[in-house]
Amino acid sequence: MTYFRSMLPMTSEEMVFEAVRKCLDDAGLDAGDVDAVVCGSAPDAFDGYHHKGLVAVEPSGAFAKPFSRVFVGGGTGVGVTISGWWHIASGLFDKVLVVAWEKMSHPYPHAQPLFRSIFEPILEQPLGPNLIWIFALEMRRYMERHRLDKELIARVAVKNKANAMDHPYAQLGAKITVDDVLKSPVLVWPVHRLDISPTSDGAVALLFASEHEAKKITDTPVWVDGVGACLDSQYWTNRDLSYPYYVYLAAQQAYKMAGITNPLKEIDVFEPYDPFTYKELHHLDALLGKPGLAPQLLKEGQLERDGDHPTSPSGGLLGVGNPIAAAGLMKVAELYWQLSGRAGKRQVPNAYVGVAQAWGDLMQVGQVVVCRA
Amino acid sequence: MDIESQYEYPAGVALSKFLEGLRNGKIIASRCEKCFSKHVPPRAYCLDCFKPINEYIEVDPVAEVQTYTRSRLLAVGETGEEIVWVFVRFVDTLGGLLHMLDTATTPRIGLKVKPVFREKRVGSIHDIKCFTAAD
Ligand SMILES: [Zn+2]
Repeated sequence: MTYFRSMLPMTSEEMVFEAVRKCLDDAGLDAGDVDAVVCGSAPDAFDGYHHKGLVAVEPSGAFAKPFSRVFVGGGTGVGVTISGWWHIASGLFDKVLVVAWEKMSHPYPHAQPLFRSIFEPILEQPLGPNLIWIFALEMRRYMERHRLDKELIARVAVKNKANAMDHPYAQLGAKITVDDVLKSPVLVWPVHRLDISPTSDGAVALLFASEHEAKKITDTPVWVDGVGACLDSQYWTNRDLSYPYYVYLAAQQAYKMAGITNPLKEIDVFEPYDPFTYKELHHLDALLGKPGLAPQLLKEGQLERDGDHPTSPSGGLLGVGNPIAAAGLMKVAELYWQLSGRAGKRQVPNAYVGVAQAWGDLMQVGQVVVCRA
Repeated sequence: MDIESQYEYPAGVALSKFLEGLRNGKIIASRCEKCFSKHVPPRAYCLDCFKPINEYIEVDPVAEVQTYTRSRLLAVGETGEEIVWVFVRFVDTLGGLLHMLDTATTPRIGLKVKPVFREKRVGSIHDIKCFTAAD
């Protein structure tokens, strides 16, 4: 992967090349060894290129090969993983490169106004909705249902930014306190600035291989054991905002494939999508299938890297950064590093099974992958 | 690079009924003939039965606050005063609306509210000035 930074002085093409070259070097392969490429990047509007997936053709070595772009909003980073797995599972391909990137520094003064068009045009856009409203509404509903206070939720930012200090590519690793989060400016109540992940540039690449090829490439392969994807209604007002049922359903698909019946007991590393502090808890609730359990575990310190249920040991989007599609794939890369014993200072002891999840669009995409050492 | 472009969206069959209702100071729901579920804002088909909907009915203009937020920020720019934005769902219906709450009402999840219509209405979401406590 590349560094995640608020502004990388590289083009999208150069970022993709850097991530892909590192991945191939690590696998001891060259572009010619790859049978197909799956790429992922979020809305075209960020890059300002129409059909921007095509900028990845050459720098991913996809020239004259099957090449596709997956797009499921913020869920794209795990969506490309699932698509990479489909390619291999189909039996048609032995080695598939998966790459995701985002360049959010192109639009100025900020990428935020581009999100306006995500809202329904007749009844919602005329009200001038800011994207953060939707998260503030969901966060408030979540807090009400489980009687949570902001002090507890702020601990997610403290934990993830501290974890990111050990991530060599992180944008926002830092030692901060709950007080720092609560004293940071309120953007849209109850969301403070430090509850939100940054906008970032960055790229991540992973190689997927069939069983017999994987064993030739490495002695420590990590296996994709289950995948799940689920989409809720386009109308966010149709949902109970306190529980992402679509993430629960996606997780259940992945667990069924992986033979997991008790995720809390059987999974060693959790990488839920954390663009906002409360979202880590909201998503972990759904990955565990128990509304309200995640904040309880957080309170008991069990989500720390040395706790019983390490969650976002990478540092997550809050700490490593949030180049949308690349952020989701960074979480899958973390599972690879953790489960192959290569996570360095971030290493979670006895990590054999991990789950990564990404989420996006207008709060409706659940994408889940379970990996095993 | 700068691109300026205008977009025009049709309201469509179901939302046109809703906007017409707003112009008349009424809240209109769609009702599925098969499962009888009511939806505000109305939909042209039932999400559960996957059948077209042809029935539109007026419903009680009483809704419940599902959640709320306070913000000065808009999509572009800011408002001078902090505005309370509510997500309300009309009683006995599915779906819901995003709108603002009047400044005199203290927001609370579960609060019953009703729309305050403007005198001059044109068939737009702005025909509702805001929501206010129902009693
Ligand atoms: Zn029906």
